[in-house]
Amino acid sequence: MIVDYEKQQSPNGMAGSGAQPGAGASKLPFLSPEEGERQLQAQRDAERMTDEEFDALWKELRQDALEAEGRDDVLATSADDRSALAEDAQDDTVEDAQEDAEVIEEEEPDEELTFDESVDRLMDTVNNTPRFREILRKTLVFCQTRRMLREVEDEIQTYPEYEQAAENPYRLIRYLIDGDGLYRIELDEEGEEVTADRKEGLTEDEIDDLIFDFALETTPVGAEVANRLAPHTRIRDLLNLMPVRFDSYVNVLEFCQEPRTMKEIDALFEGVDMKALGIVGADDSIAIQPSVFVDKLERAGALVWKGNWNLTAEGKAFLETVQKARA
Amino acid sequence: MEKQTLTRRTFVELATLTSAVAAFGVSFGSKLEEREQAYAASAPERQVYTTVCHGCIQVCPCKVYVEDGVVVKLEGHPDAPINKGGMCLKGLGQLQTMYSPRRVIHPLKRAGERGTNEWEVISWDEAIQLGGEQFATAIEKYGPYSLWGASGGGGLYASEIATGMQYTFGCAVEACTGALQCYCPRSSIAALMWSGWNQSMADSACLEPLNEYNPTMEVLVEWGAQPAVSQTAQSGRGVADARSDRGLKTIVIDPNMSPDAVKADVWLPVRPGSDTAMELGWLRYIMDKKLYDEDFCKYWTNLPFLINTETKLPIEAEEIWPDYVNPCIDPNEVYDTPAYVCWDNLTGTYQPFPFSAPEDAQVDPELFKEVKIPELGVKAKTAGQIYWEEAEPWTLEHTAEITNVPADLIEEALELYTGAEHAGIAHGVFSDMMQINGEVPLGCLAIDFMMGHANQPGATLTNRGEESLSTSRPTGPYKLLVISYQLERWWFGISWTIGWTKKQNDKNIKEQLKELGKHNDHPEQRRDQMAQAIKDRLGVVHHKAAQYWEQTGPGMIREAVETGEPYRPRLLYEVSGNKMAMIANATQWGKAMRENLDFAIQQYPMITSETIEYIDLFYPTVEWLEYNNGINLTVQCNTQWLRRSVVHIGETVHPEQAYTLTVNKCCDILGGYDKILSHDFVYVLGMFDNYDEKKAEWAAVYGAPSWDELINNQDKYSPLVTPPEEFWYYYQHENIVDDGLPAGFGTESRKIEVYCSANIKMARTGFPYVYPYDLDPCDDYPAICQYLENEENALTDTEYPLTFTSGRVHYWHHGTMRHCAFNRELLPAPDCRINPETAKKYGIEHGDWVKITSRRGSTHGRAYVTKGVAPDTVFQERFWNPECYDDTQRDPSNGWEECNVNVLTPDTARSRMYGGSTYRGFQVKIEKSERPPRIWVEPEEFEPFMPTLQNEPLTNEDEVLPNA
Repeated sequence: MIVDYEKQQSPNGMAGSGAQPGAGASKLPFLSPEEGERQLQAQRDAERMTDEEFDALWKELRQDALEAEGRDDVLATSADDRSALAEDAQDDTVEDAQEDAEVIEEEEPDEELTFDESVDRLMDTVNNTPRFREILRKTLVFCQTRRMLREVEDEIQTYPEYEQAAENPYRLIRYLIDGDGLYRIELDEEGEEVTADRKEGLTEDEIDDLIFDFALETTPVGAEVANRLAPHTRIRDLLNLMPVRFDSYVNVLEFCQEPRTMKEIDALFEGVDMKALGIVGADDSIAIQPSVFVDKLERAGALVWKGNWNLTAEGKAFLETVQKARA
Repeated sequence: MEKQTLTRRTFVELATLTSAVAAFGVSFGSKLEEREQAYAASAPERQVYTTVCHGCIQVCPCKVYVEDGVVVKLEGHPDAPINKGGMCLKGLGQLQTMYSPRRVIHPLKRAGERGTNEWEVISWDEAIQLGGEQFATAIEKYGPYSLWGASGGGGLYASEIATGMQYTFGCAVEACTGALQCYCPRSSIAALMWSGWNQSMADSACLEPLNEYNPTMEVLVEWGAQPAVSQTAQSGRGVADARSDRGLKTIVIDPNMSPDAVKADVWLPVRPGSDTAMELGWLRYIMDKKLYDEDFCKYWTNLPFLINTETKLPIEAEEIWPDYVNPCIDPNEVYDTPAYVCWDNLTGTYQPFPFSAPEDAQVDPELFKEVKIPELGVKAKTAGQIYWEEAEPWTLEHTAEITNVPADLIEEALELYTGAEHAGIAHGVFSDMMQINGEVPLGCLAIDFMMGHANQPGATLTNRGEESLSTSRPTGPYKLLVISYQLERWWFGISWTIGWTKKQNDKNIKEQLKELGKHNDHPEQRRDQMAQAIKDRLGVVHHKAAQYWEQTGPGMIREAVETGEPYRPRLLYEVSGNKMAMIANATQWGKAMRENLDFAIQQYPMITSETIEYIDLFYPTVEWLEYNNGINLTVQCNTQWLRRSVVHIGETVHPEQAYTLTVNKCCDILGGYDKILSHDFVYVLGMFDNYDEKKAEWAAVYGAPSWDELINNQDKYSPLVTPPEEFWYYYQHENIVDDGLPAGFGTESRKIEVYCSANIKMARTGFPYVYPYDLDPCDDYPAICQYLENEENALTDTEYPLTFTSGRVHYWHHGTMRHCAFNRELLPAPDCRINPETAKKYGIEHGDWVKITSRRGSTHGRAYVTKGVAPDTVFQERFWNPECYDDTQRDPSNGWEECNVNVLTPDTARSRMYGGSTYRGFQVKIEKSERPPRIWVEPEEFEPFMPTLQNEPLTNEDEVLPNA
């Protein structure tokens, strides 16, 4: 699904990271420029139509498209259409009608996941793209107090990891919402929640008019994921994993109390017998590189890149704990 | 009407959906608005162009018919010497793929989670900026080992980019599926054994079967080769012509009754993976019955050399006789032609055996002998004796028992092959895909060499053209196109040239460093850095043979990406189609990449499963009808043809250009070209950032004053034709060169090294790849063909009783063309070829869907019951299903699990010399099953793949990306 860039902006109109909205958003590939312009104009015209004109045009377009594809199953989603389908089915075999009914039934919502399944799914989402991991985790932590959408978008842009995200904050937030990590709370102009009860009896346009802003709050699933990914736990587990590397990890943490380049960290390991630090994997003919320490400390949340390598607050706290224990 | 499902917002979204802003994989045909029928005011103007197909690696010249800017017809060029006007399904399919709704014609950035098919269109400026930023950030954060390139097979456009990255940035690894599992083993072993072309027909290495100018070949052995399928229009046609017009007889050795096997005089349905047994059986027969070319073996191979049984290396004369004066010493100290030691039948003693013309030899060397060398305190055996001892157990009966081919059939094939004066072996890709990929080429080459079938008319092992002639002692190993390591390493002053003295090698390296200094400051430091990157290459110690093509076994890369050790390759530049279909093991690979790569860029004409799984940024490249290239893969036989753009749509770019501009952007961000290891290396392998300059280079190749002149008067300049008498050369090794001796071969001994001592030295030091550096030693590699089975094999596996093998079909090349509606109509789903006995045993009938399971996973195929595979063997080609993510799918998948044999393959079963994974010859179970969900098989279902971009306006490729 190509998402029109402009549509993927938050309702507050926040622009994304690095993208130039004008560059691609108006392009509609696979159509000639004339047809593309015509489609866009149709969209704009839709905004100016009366309700009756609008309904008629929509019905015509939707009907044509679905009929052309033979999507009787979709066309049959309204009660009237289901009745019509049932009447048609009287001319078909019972089996065919049952198949149609099954097709319709297949469009029922997915079965609900258990809490653990939801946590696993959100863990996959958060872990799936490494450059998003810390951003998503920090967002889950940040939203453990209810926050306004714009506040969260602004917060994300302060994260040093955001520099390389190549993604806009709203889309990152959507990953967490769609993964059941965040509640997306609709608010009216007074800041009151627009609950399901309040939507009862309203048209969708009326609902849209009622909703003024959005807030975000971490769900229990999101809180569990944030807890599992807490840096202090990850850092501790990392350093305990291979005791032979403990001192090397601590050395890197100490070294990065000042901002460091990767070349400086490479130099820190000069003269060290890297093969003695072991290796995970089948091939022990090559020694691990110093970048392994940086990589793993970053993944544990102890280091962060801000143009050079720096300790995170959690990394600093962990280092202080080790230093005190050693004192 | 009820409005519960519609608001202005949803209407706008729906209107957007019904326009072209939709998922890739969607047909727009049904969503286009009705228009009034257009009537042509006049007949369309038809133009005809000549270009070169790139549907596979054999690149057939073709004619392209264009009407009103749309390609409407393709046909082979009638003047092409081998395809002669023919064109295969792969090439013809470009008519559909060029205009496929699956084409991507604008740059894309991922707009959803990895694993989803959601994209946004961005500009090229933004794409290059983003790509450059990611490169630069990865280098700054983790160093150059964080970058890696991946490419595909020879049909790929610009496959050298991934190799080039290593030398441009000093990154350590590259994964090229078209290397370790396709051609690198066969070509590298031949390069070391005789410094010449190899036995691959698909890669146009062996041309004699197709030689109409001097038609001599009598018998062709197609050992796991199926030209009728792999390169139908060219090699396939050529072999068919040779059979019908010139009486060529063929022997096919293949578990599968391929179309070539159907026509063969003898078909040996060998058990998959048992080929080393078959080879040793052949070698034993040839040696036992003295069918080898004795003189050739004695004087042109190293078979008579006495091998120190402790060092495993041939003994040089000076080791026994320190005062020996080698008559071949070069007074200029440039060339090295050692004198070895043989058992002399004339004197009944061991004697020095200096290089000479056969008629000038002072000895009559014995091929099969074991002696004691008291001067060295060791036993020695001739290389011939070593081979005999290895082959001796492999009687016809024993060979039959292990290979499942009847002894009398094997003998029939042997009689046919050995009875011909002009014969040769065409060795197919099958062995490159197994753990025996080092051993099998050693054997196939040894068979032909022992028979004297080298550099002779009617042999598959020949060398052609001016480049095969030498006025000096030849050097090696053979440089196989731009992908051979020499081109890269000479840039940095690394590697040993076989045939030169140490002094000359050192002098050459010094000159190379001086040249590097013109492009980079601190050249020695940069060389050290590059050498260290080679030494840190994953698997380089155990699998040194992969260095011929700079490769790393994909399984090792997958492990490093997953574990982060010994470093994590984290920014991928992918120059191929669908690793999810082509790499072992697909499930493990996809998971590792999706969850661990920081960023991934792909350049390709369409979105594939791989794109959806883990690509973040997509560069759309041209299809071959839009592609200019004067020199890369444009040769057929003695002709070279211009490949030129015929049409161009969208913002697609030349595959060599987008990468270079990304490199330039990375350097800008880092602060200059000198911030990476060697920026100018990008140009060494043919990439470019200035299209105008590149076109001028191509024009010069054809003798045209300018590109425009070349294009506008193409027939005047293209093809370049080498007269046949200057192309088909033979017996080059006998030509006398400037030292007064026969040229010989570009090996250490100047002879064909049937006993490949270079393999021994390689295992111990990395010879010849890393001089003046060394690599740590590993267990010795074999110098001769040895019996070896894949880890999983039918002899020992009781749990998984069937042997799986694979191969090509003629509808597509590697992972291409599965979105070509017409080709898919012909073969919608992969056939699982299964013998009637086996089918009956498992209750499977022809046409049934089957589930094939290995220890790694399961996939599906459609049973094709045939006696064309042996009992207990199943055959299925590599496949993937792009329809699975079509917008019409209720529950789309990414199309790589349903019918993909690479979910079955092990990436931990690696070949010892190359580290490549196993793609065939492993064990499976089979059971009847159901058609997997989502895949299409009926013709009408492929409607969404029908081409739709014919109305896309023509654009000018020159205007898409700026010149540097």
